[in-house]
Amino acid sequence: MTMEDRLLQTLRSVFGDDLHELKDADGLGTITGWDSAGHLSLIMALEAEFQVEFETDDFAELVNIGAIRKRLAEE
Amino acid sequence: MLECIRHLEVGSPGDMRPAEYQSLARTISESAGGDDGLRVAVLSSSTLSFLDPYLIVECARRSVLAAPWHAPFGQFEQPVLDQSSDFWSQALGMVIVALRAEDVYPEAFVRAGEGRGQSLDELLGQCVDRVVACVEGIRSRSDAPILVANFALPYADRNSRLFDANDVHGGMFAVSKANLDLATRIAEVAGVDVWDYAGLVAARGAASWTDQRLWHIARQAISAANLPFAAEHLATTISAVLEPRAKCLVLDLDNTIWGGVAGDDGLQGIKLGDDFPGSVFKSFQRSILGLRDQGILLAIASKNDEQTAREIFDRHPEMLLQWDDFTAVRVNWEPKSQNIRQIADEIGIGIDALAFFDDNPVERAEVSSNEPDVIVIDVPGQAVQFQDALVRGGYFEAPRLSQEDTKRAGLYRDEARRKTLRSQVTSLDDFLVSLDMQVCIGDASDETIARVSQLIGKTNQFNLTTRRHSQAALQEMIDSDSYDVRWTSLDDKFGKSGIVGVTITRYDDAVASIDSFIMSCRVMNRQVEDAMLVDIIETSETRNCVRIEGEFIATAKNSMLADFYASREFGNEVVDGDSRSSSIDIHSASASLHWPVCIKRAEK
Repeated sequence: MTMEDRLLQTLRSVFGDDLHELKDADGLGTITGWDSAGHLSLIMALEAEFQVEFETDDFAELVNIGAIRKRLAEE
Repeated sequence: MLECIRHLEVGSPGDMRPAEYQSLARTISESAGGDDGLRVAVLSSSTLSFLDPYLIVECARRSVLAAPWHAPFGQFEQPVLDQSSDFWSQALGMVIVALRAEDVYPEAFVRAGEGRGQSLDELLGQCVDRVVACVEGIRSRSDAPILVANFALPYADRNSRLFDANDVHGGMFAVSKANLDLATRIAEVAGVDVWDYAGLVAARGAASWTDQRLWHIARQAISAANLPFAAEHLATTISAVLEPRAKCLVLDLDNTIWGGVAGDDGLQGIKLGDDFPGSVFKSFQRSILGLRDQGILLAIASKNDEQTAREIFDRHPEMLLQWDDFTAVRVNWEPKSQNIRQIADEIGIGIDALAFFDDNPVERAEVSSNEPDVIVIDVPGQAVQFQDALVRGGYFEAPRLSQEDTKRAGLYRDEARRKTLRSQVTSLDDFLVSLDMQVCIGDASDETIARVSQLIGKTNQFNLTTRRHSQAALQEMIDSDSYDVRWTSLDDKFGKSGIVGVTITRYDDAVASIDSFIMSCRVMNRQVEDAMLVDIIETSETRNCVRIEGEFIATAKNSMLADFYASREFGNEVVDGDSRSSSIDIHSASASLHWPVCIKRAEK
């Protein structure tokens, strides 16, 4: 599975199956369920899915798809 | 039960990733449809809402449809004290109270201590007071079972990690004392039990319990990796509080309680003893005996020649389990599902009260498919993991054990001797007289409420209405003048059976209505039920009642009682769905129903 597929699958698991495409600008506040609590759930899910450990700064920065794509590409 | 959760086996909590838990939890909740599930209301001093998806899945694995609800962050007592709060508008099915001392007093484990202002004992004592007050507040308006998290020994918030236990005023001893105080005080409130959060943290490891990032960002004290394990622990505790525990452990023999195959390896060849690999099986036998000590009956379902198996028990010097420890034995070549069905019938318990432990996956599958109600324990491939597999599901756990529990194995052995006597005495009447039975009946009180509540909670067969009153509801009836809650105990020449019966009678005007009539099936066919009914008649007479009403509510397990009242002169039967009520006037009752001649009436 490509990184994009895994990302989409993780977001659908956390926020619901009606997510179909991910735009860079989508994120906290624009995707249903991605509120402050949903954000933490997503961060925890991404860490387990991609075997990464984000730094505390990442928690505040990874608030949209574009930022997450960029951060995961660095791994 | 929901289709999607029927397929969920109890697995290892680490076997799914967070995303999978979240997705599965959503599927479970969405497919619940009109079923609201069990409202689990959480009052906590730290964030526990991230536990929800894990809790929903782990509860579903135990056939509980959980619907968690959380008080607003930072509110602990307020929702309970404010009678118009959202908390009180929930249909409370279960309440979790989780106060962490370090949330209330962030300095507690870092700065408090002798000579530094308030001592740790004082701070923790105040936490215990708050928890107890909160629990009492909930209990004043709700019957819902309550689980109270105890205090974990903090790790991150501790300046001394080396010598804390060297200091008798240090964190470890203060927390231990607070936990003892907490358990002692909540035991006085009906329907409240400890959720052993401290044990959970210790078992998983305090050093990795908290993820400091999640703690500081979200006030979540449980790391993501530990959430599934916390949920498993809480779900198992919830299920053990709600469901009666398994009553009987059915064991395979070869490669289960000893290593090797008796028929092939022989007495000398099987592995059992103090050295590896025999030590693994000896230690497993010790665990099994531990369950027996707590009142779990043991049975054997083994494909073997009985003589071969028996020889191991009689002649192997390292066998801890004895042939006599088993209440029912099926050693033959028939399918195990059939043998298990016979074991349930022989002991007189429902088949869903049996847990089956067998190293062979084919045998487990055969039992699962032919007797789906049997609890089939998922046995790992290596014998060193058997002990953990036996207990981790929590099937044999009950929040509190009564004296009867610890004596049960002996009680059933007495019953086997009675059966032997029965085969020697020709008529049933002669047999009953020869038993020298003595029945004692009294009002339920603090000393007997645990056993009374247990009979109400777990008796399925000899139970006319199967009303599962909570201990709190029971306490109210005991305290009320319009109810009698009576227990019945039985002794005979083979031993004491203890409390075997419970009746609850409600009095309205001059009518006595039998709300509950429950008897342990261990003492069936001994006319004890007639003694219990006569007691109700006599009590109703002293209360000047003119009529007694009895009710039978049919369930899958109590069909043998359908004619209980009709065969005892009750008339005017009214059928309403699964329920039939009938009545008898007090004069006919005292004229036609008499204390059984084979039973002596004992004084308390």
